[in-house]
Amino acid sequence: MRKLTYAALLAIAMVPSAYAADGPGEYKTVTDERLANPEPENWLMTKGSYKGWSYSPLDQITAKNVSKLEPVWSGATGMAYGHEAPAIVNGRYMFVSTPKNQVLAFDAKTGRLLWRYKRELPDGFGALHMTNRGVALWGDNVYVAGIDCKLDALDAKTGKLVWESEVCDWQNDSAYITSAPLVVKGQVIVGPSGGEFGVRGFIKAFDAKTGKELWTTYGVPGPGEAGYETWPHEGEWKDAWKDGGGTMWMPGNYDSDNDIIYWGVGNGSPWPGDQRPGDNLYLASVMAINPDDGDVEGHYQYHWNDSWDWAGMNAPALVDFDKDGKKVPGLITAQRNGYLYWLNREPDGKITYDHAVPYVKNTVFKTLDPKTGRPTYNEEAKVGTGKTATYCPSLWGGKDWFYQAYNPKTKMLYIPFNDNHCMTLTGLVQPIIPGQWSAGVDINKLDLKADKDFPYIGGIQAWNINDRKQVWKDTYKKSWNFGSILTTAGDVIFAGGTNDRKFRAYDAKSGDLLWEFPTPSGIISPPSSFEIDGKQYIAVVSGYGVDAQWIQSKMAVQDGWEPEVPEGGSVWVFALPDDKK
Amino acid sequence: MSEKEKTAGNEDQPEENVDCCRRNLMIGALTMAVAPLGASRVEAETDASSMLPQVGDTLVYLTGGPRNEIIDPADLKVGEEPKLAYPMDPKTKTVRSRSRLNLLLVARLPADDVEKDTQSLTADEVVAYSAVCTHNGCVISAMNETEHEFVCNCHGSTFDAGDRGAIVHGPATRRLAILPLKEGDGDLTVAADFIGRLGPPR
Repeated sequence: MRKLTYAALLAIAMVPSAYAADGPGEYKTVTDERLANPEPENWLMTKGSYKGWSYSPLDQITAKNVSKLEPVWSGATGMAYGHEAPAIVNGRYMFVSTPKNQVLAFDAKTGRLLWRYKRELPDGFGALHMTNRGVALWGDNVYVAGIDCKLDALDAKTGKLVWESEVCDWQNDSAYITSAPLVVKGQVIVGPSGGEFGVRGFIKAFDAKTGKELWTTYGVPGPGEAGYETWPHEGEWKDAWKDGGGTMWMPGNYDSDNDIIYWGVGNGSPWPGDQRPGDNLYLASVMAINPDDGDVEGHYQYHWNDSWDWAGMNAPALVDFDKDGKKVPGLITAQRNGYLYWLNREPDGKITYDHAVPYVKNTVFKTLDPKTGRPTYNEEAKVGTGKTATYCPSLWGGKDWFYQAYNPKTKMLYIPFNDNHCMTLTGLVQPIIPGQWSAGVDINKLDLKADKDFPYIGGIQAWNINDRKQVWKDTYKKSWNFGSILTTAGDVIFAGGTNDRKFRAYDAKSGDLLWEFPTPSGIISPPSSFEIDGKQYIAVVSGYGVDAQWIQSKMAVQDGWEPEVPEGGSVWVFALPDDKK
Repeated sequence: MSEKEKTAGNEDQPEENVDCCRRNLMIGALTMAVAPLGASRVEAETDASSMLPQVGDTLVYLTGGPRNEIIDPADLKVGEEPKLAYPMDPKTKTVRSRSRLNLLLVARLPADDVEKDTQSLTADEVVAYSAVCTHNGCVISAMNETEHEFVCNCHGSTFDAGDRGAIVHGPATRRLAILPLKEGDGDLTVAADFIGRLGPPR
């Protein structure tokens, strides 16, 4: 009897360990502390850390050995449309969100599908950008914002719905969510898109445990709020603030030392600025926000009275850069308007201008005030109502939504960019109707033109953030670049973004191309890196679409490019062969 | 089922959580069970404004005329931009504007461009279609120079309004749903439910 008991106990003891060796094992709870100091082996949020660097401290894959990189596993997502979400990794659990309200959980080591969460879109739903930019983690939950305005908390181990909250109103307000949420101090924070549909932008915070709504901060201030005075209050456009745009459609960054969130604010709505005379805070700005109550602690506006759809939606990276011989806390960001900004970051949230330089051709800005960075405009290039204007860069800017990357070892900022393209638009007054484009220009007359005999459109630039000079540049003669960048402590950068479907590795110091791999579709999702059992992996999701595809069709007509990049999502994971580490 | 068993079962058949209707039904049932009478009345009013078009409803302007005013078919001319409209309960005057699916595209077509089997669904060549594009769900509000083809603003899908919403060219892969009409006394009246599926595939 005693022997049987021992045998039974042994069997019970053996089963979990045998299973653990085969499966992803226990799920490690995500805490505030872990998010503030993420382990090198995990990729817990869209940009890898609160600082927004898209940097992995892992260094097994190096500039010397990356040419040996091989695929380890891949998995189809079962979805078309543009895939813009990174693989988020905690231990052996990998989470990938896709268009149309789907989240997949994989064993990051083997590629085995653990669970799939799908929520049907409601009848009649429509959105300009049918995509999703990633999940967030906290506690034992995975948070995903559905394109139909719902924020879902899922059990990380099972994919079961824990709670669901409403963020916005797609039916009447035409808002929709593409952004990944950001979790700060047990609050899930996210905001909708819809700047082309008259949405007044905002972010909302929800209790990560219960889904209870906690606070809302608008990208366009209302009556009684600071900044309201920068909007018209009389005459034809007196209500412009009510649907003035300023959507906050990309996840922010967080200074955990000073407890300040930095969030980017989108374009003006409608696009022609003369329909909302004034500076129009906080359009095309970065806002500093108190995570406890949503109060605005500071801001910096890149350009006033936005008239070009140059959204400032990407929050700057938190860096320390050299200034007057000292290291100072700062913010750095390559903006859609084509300028690269160095900003000063104060502990209380105040943001001040330090320096800016164009990184692509900008035909709108005539001068920048040396103290404030405020631009003066070439009025001929400013889109107005009934006025046709041509400007460069086009509305997709020097860099659209995809992420820059900062490497603290090389001190370089890596910018995925597009240059030598311009736009001609004519402003008009359009009614705001549920679900209908009302950006103040005819959507069928978005006249995108590449320069005659352009030497390239897309590429990557590397800038030293201390001496503020470009170190290297790689260019793509026959492609735009719609890909985020990952940089690693192995002195490598990884990037997709081109129409030839390739995923590439470059020497982070020299820009030399070291490795490339063609995936089934094109890559517009951010790469990420993680480590399991001492082995470093690189993950990326292939799946072209959305604006990149639209531009491709335009380039086909204008310059004879292939009219379409094949669509269809798949997750790819790479590593070095065991004998090449 | 234990956690271990559930996960073990994932090898060939991962857990799939398709969440849509069951939870909503449960919430709906709960609401019905606990809602006081006053709340029910409010809910009924809300429902009327989000119900799909009902036979006998009249159509009111959203664009192209005074908002929420009844559309007089005599005011609609061939070649004009189509009007966006909502159905309205003529008795309660409830405009059914709380559902995106109720956005209607209304236009008068040239008689020669209306196919035989579409003719009976029009009110003297005035047609009403779902305005929700079956490609990506954008709202359609434009007609091209043919005077009988609707064009989606977002991606250019084109539908033949004279042929029960047939696709002229994509990217849409599903025809536009038509709402049968008959002419009333100075207005347009819904004659039957939508014919065809609404909006894009989910």
